[in-house]
Amino acid sequence: MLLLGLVLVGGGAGLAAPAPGTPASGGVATMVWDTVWDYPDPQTSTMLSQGYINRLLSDSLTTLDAEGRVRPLLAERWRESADKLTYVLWLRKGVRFQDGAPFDANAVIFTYNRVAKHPIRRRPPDVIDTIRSMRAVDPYQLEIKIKSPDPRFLEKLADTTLVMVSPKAAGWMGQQFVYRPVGTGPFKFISWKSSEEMVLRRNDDYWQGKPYLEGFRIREIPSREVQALELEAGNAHVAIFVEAAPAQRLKQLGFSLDLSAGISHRSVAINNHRPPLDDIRIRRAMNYATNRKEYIDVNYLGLANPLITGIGQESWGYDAEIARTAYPFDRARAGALLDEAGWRLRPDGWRYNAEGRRLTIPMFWPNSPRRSVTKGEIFQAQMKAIGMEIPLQLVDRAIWSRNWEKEPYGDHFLTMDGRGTGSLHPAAHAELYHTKTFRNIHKHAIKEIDDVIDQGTRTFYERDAKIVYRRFQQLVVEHAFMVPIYNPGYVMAWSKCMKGDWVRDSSGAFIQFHKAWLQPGCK
Amino acid sequence: MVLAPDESARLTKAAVEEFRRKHGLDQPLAVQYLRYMQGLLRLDFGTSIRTSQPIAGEFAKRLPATMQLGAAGLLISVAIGVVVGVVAAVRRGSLLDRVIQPIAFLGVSIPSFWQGILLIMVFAILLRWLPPSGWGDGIFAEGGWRYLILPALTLGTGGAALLVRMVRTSMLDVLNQDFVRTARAKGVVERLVVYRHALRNAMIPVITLIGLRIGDLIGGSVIVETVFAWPGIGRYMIQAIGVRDFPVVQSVTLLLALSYVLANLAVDVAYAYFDPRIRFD
Repeated sequence: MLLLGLVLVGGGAGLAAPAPGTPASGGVATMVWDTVWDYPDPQTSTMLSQGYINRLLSDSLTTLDAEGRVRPLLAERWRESADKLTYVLWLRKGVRFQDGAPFDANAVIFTYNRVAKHPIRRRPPDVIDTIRSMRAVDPYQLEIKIKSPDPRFLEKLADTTLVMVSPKAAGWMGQQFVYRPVGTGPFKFISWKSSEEMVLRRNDDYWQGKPYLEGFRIREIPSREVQALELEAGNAHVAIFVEAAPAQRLKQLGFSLDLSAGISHRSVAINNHRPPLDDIRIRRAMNYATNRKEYIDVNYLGLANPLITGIGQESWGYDAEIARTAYPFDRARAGALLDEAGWRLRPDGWRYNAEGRRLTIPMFWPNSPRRSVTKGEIFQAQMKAIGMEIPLQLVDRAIWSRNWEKEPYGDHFLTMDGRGTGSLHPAAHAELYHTKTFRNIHKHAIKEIDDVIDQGTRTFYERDAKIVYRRFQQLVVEHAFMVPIYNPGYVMAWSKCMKGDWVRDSSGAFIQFHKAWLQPGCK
Repeated sequence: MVLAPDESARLTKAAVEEFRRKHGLDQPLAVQYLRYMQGLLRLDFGTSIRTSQPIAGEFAKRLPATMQLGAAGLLISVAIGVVVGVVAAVRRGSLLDRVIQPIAFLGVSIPSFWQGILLIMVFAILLRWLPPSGWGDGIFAEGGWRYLILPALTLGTGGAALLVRMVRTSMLDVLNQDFVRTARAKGVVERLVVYRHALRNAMIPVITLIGLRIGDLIGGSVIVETVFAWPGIGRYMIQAIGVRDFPVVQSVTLLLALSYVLANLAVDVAYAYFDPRIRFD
């Protein structure tokens, strides 16, 4: 079913074949999404989806290909020192900001300092905190010294939050710059009406060539069902986050879809510190009793990938062999493990220990969105099938996070764990499970896991890294400190009138809009 | 609530302190309350946490959209509700009455978000008569009225169904009273009996319901504005709830309460018009 889903959406991890036809200039493309902007500033907006706008407005120093590997963008090339603490980047010459100011090393320093000064940080722009110093060797040569070696340093520079902004425009606009950003990108910011739309116009002097599209209109439509209907009505050309049901309908109507399921993790977090969950047999039983396919089919109509080993399938560090053999859905084995742990099944359908205590493990779960609640209910039903009672306590998100954040071991037994990696690099996936992460939601204290994650942060070559992350995945399976479930799918849809290639970066998939065009006369 | 752990975890301690100072949260609750009340007297609703923009300014931008939608919804409610309600009452027990009753029941029962999607599918996708969502350049721009129809219908039909039931019941009550029988006995034309004598007397409970609907239309627009991407107060409220922008939630709640109070005041005044026996002594 999953494979079928991937085929349905056009290959899942690869690049779509270029659309046939000769590119035509002109036309304004309309994109619809449900993001609510606070303001359109690339660096200080707290909206994660702002990344899509940032790619239209400006460029970062590096970019990523479909597999998540680093490629040059505004930095043409780079050199790293032997100790991996100094990077020298050669910047592209002849690039200008949309206000005519030249792009140079000082603009990079200005942009990164701007991020550093802002109090709210999103991962991975925490990379800015790892910078020890920046120096313009000459206008097009930048030296960056970092505090500790980081194999993901160049990848992190590709983050959409780290796109360049014009120091000149930011200087004269002051506070107003957050409402009228100026970058190096293919489209210029024109206007923004809160709750309505943002309008962008073509940057004729774009360094990668004049875009075909005359402009972009990005409409805020809160209902994803209505977004899909706008596509159907021919009023929109691209929808960023399409729900599974409308996605199936759009596919039948001839729209192009792409599934990006590599950058988020959804799991049931187990408090490893709390009895009876400190018994590995119970944790393993829960993993065997989990039917991941059911979650994916119910919540995403098959448009998601199962998560088994703590590293998503689309990451180059994913080990298919470990995933294939780890915890196949097997209720009999789950039952046997619980028997062995002393929890026997009684005629009432529940399991009890020798003292007559029922195997009841409460689960704290956020009460919204509905899809999340459904996930909790599915887990509850699947565990009931092996005689475990899981009372589901639905609470507001603020209360939910206070519950498991409580020091030192949290107040929870089981709870939801949903996090984004923002990257296809296995280090970004693995580090979610380090005991020192702010969200050690599993309260595990497995030193070996910390050690292997730390080792990963010192491993620079892909071949070596694959060995490290293979070990990480083995440990995840061996210790069963959580119940990984799936990588949710983000489906992007575009109309048959919109042509062009798409690529994927840390924010998911997106069309290379500077190369996109609208087929004349198409409706 | 103001700084839920999700958000505060991303901030430095200094940033949290700065945030608390900027929004006056470092002051005792009584001081915060007094400051808020002082601000209200100057129509200063405070500042949005999300956008750092004055809430009063957002109200000024969004209130016209909500008022236009509310007014159109109310117009549809009253026009359909009163006319169909009277027809159902006058033709009590007829086939028409039997058709109207279940439709009115259905109208009351259908949730507006579902009805909205259904209307979009029929009128925007299937028939291609109207745009699915949005506001265009405002309803007074060329063709702007087309954007208003579907959300106004969604907002208005639920209320219309309620009114149909209320008008029918109220009219039946009045049509059986002595003064109506007297009017008919005196040879007054049936149309005048119904519209001049009966309807005016039947309007008192209906006016009460319409008054409540005025408040509901502003509150109900929360859902309809979200479905149709209508840039009004209701949508502002939903956005604010989603990001725990509590000064905005608080201010919109206050505005909603105020709309109910004003609607009730208007109803009291309208009573006197429809029934001159009711006076403010």
